[in-house]
Amino acid sequence: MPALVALANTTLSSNSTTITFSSIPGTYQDLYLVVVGRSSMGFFQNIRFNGDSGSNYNIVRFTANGATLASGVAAAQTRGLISDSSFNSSITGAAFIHILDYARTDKHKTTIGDVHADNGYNNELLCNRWSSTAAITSVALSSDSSQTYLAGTTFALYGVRGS
Amino acid sequence: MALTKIIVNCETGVSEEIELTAEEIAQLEADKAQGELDAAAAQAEADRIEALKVSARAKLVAGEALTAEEASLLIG
Amino acid sequence: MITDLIASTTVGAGGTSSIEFTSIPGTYTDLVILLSARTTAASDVPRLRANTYISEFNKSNVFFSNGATVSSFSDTSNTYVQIGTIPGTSWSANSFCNVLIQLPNYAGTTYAKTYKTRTTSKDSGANQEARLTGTGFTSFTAAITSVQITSANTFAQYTTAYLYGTLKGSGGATVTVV
Repeated sequence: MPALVALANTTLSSNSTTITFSSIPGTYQDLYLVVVGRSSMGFFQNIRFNGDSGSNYNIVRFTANGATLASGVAAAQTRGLISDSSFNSSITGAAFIHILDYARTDKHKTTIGDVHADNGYNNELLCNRWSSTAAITSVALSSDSSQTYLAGTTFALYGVRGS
Repeated sequence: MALTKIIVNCETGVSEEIELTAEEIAQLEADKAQGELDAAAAQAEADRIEALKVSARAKLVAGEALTAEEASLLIG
Repeated sequence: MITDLIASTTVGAGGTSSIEFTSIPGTYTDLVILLSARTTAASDVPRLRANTYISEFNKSNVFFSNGATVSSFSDTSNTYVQIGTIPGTSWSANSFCNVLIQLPNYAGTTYAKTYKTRTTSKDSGANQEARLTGTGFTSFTAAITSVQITSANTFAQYTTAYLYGTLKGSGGATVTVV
């Protein structure tokens, strides 16, 4: 039995502001999200759960940009991040995000992600904590400042079996 | 012993081990030489960064001016 | 993260200089390679290439630590990706490294290819390395049909390589695009 089960996917046929995975069944252990493509500008790429845009996201990120290493932490944000700067109109980014225990109601939710860009300069490790014990039933992805993901960008959501 | 490569054909499932061609051996030797250069360059860069950090810390303690690169290494 | 095992191999007693997966079907979404490797030399840094030595230089950002230092650098002058340091005779006996290689959207042709490698090596002594490499190309948009992992020396016996495919699909969740 495969450990990874495909839940939904899309490839953008035109530029889009927000991509939302909804009606996510609560029968898996974790979720796994893969995003490959470009954004109209090199701003933050956001993630929100269950439509929550309150100040409930906490972020830790570690970035390698060429020879420069940097780390940052942000508390009480209105969104989590899947990328700091690996997506823009001329850079193809690839993000791999693992959302652990997404359906449990006895803990806050955490994500582990790593992202890289095709320009030889960006490598990122990002972790988010969503301060909610609610089971995750939807995941929304968007670019900061209402920018867009560009046509051709792919999004795929998988469920990870626990047993 | 001859140098070989393992080819796994994903369509047929057949795996075979065959000897490298002269061209492939030449590529291997070129890779080896380049690999040694790559490793040396990576180590040199790591050593350079570490030396800058040591210098930056010493300057900070002594109240001396840091270069822009030293400052970036300490505080991003 | 895997759905199907496409192919695998284990290096025999004579060792080998290269492991190649060919005729990779284009029916999956992403490829994942898991490599457990050791070299017969003192140590080695294997190279990853796709579609047989493409001539375009890739652009890699390498983020690595060897326990004493952590650093990152850009590598834009090679036609291969350096996977990371794998153990050999200067490392403890029986030490093998772990390598995860991900090639997302490997069969797509809209954007130039990008892939990632993650390597960790540690022996029972003072040898260690953790390396994360993100790589991309400017104009290599063709589907990946083969992957080569080559050693400048020889992969040791018991080195293993597994090629997996993950397949996107629909099954219980809905996606909405605005």
